[in-house]
Amino acid sequence: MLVSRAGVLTAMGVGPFALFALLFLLLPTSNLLIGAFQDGDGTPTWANIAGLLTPSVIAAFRVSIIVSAVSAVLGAAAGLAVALALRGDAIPQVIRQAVLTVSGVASNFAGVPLAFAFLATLGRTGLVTVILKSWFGVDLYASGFNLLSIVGLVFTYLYFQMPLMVLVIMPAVEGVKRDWAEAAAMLGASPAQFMLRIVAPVLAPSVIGAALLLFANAFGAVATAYALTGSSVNLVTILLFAQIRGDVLHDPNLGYALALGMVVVTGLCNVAYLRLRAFSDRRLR
Amino acid sequence: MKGGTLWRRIVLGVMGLYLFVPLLGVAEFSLRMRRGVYSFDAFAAVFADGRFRETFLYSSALAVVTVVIGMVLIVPAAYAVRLYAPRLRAMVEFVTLLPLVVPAIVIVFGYMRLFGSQSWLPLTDTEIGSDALLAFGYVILALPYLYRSVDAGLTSMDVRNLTEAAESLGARPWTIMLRVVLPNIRTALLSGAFLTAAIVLGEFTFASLLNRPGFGPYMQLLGANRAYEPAALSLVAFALTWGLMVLIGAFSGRRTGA
Amino acid sequence: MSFLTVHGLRKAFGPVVAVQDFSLEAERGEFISLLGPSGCGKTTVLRMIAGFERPTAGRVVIDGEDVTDLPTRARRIGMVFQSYALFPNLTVEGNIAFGLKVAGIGREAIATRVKEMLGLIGLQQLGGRYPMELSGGQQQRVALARAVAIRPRILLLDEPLSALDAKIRVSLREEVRGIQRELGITAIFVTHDQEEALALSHRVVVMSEGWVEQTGTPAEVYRTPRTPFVATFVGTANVLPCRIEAAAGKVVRYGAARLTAGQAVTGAVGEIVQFAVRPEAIGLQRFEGASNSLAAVVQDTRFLGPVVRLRVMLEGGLPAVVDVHGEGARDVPAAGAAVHLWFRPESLQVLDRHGHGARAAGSGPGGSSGP
Repeated sequence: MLVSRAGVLTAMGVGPFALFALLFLLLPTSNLLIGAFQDGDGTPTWANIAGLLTPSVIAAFRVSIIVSAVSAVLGAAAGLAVALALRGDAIPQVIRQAVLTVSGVASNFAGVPLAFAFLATLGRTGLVTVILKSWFGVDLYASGFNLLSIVGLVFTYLYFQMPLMVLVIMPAVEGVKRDWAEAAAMLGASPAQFMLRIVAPVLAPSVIGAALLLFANAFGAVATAYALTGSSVNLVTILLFAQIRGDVLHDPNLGYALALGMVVVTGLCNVAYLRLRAFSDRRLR
Repeated sequence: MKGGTLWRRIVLGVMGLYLFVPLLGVAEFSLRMRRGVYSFDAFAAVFADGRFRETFLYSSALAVVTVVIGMVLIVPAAYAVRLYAPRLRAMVEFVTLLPLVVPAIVIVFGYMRLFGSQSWLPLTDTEIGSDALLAFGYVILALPYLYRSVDAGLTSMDVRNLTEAAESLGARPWTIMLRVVLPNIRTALLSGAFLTAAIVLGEFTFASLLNRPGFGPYMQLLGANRAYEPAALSLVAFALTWGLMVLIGAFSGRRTGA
Repeated sequence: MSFLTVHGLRKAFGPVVAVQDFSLEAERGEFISLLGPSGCGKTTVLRMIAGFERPTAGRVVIDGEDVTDLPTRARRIGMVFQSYALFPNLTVEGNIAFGLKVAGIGREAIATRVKEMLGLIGLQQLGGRYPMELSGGQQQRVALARAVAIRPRILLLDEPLSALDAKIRVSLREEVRGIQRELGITAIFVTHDQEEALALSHRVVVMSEGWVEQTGTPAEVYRTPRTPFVATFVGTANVLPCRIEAAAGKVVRYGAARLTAGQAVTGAVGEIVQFAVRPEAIGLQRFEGASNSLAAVVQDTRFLGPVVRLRVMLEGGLPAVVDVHGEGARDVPAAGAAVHLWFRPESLQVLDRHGHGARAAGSGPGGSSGP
């Protein structure tokens, strides 16, 4: 049989990568997801999926979805505002570059150290808590705030969500051409009309898509929440983490079902994201 | 029309404040170890801790291994797809984006099932096996970022023309890869490497669940047991991330016009 | 007063002056080109008329109304951009209707107007398409329809053809001109392409480094260029430095050769003045002529289709070009041949000898025009 040179080179280049991805990404994940439909002996069952419908699991998914959605929406709104503020040449190049670098740092500053930073700032003896109390007489914790709560978690997640939004949405915002604003002005539109009729529809798919990305980002996060709240906030990832570590009742197959539930949620998000991106790419090349 | 600069300043100012205050808080907290006065005791304690050095070195070494394995796998794949098999492109891109869809905790859970002690390939039974598994996992975590930076590098070097030029001069595929492709995408490789390092160094979930002595689990453990040291550690981690991002900026800004 | 009056327009970006003392009067229905190389300030002039840039000094008056301090959206100006600048989220119809919608015009009236505009640009079938689904030429026609849909008082065209292929560029420029004529709208057209400017315009304004070099009909600008810049930017010209023989006479001297100009040359005896001669205005002779004859040696010849272009070296070491057409082009002298160039007195065009400052006074009392 004749094998083309291109075929050989393709196999040599893509082969190892494909094998690796198969072994360490596709197989482990699919194997796990199949496990969600098996019992301990490998017999097919719906029991694990049914197990997801217990109040504690449902509550965990609910809290996870709330924290992720709220931090995604707020992060997307704030990040979009920052990106819009950086648009054009109204802001000096140096500041613009600094903001982008800081965004790169902050969006990667997640996990354990971020939790420490917020504990030291908004914890019971944190800097801002203390200053508000002693200088302004505002007692955050007496007024119901708690860093180790859903609100506190959202506030902490925003630290990486907002900068991530800036980085993800900046290209789309830069894609809004100065010519369009001038054309709109020439046609008699006010800046508000330009924003409403052109900028908003043009950016909408990218913004929604980016928000979905932020959602998935928060939904899968473990370290920040774990270091911040231990297990006092009932997130799916924390629940699964505890399951795997065997801290609580050890039931691997329920764990697989939890994993399946997570993949379904983030998978839906990403499918929506890809569709939106393809849609906006088609119109805005 | 410069009228709109006020709201821009306010937005950027609020963002700056929100990003800066927690750093200020953790910095202030890290200096409070000695009663009544500010001191660097917490930093001294952190740096004096043997576990700090061990875990940090462990994670650094792992970052290097991750980058090397990742590049060896990804560069030839991206190159071959671009040059010889554009039809595979969508497929390969889909796979590289999967780690953004599947949460890390799910992937590592899958490893424990597939490579656990009762499995066909019990990698987690040995130290070296676990280390390798952790590195492989990190390659997967870094896949979206590594692949994109390599692919961007290949785009900017006009890989087809350069390859054909090299072939017309009699170069073999191996030579082309080493002497034409790699040198031309080295800035892309470097920024991908630094980004990978930023992800790997403080990673918690994988290292913790695979029971490896990584820097992430160490920070978490310290946080659960100490008060001031974690604050100092947090600043160190921030400085580290900052340094890596600045390096990325420096290398990508200095892209030579090849 | 003219329909459009631009007076003393000046624009400085920090220390850099992009436009110096620009003035222009345009009548209703006139098509005027601003012609010049990139960076000459032509686009800045257009953007000041549109209201995108605030002039450092000067006024813009449209139909008796001073619009200098009005925002763009209140000026009722139509503009076509080099990049088309179509709104990507709107269909062709949506783009054309945009200006009418924000003006609050009724749905029926908008539909009628959009249909009329689609007919004008010949794209009736494509109303529902998105800009990205159109060719460059089609996009630019939509941009033109969008600009004129609001019945603007003035149509501004900022290098609208530069992003298009050469073939489409020529056909579309005729179409643009046809629509402008049909609507009777005053148009200002910015271009760096002298052929475009000459082919389309009633009048051409040639600009360089922020200054107006010359304003005139295409024929005036081509046949009687006033400055060395105009002579060489609009078409090709040989610029000859000559010495004045007699005060207020027509006779000058290039080296040893006596040349007679079409009009009297002012200046002191012995002063050096620049003259322009077009390559196609030069004839070749084997022997020295009685007047306006220059000795030269052929350097090389280029066959350009309609003409054969000869590069020659004049006595005194100045290079020049000569275009030979018609029957003479079948048998041109070979490289190395000694020839004599000859041209009519009216082909020897005197140029301003001074810099930008003197140009403003060019048509005044100190000017060089004859009686």
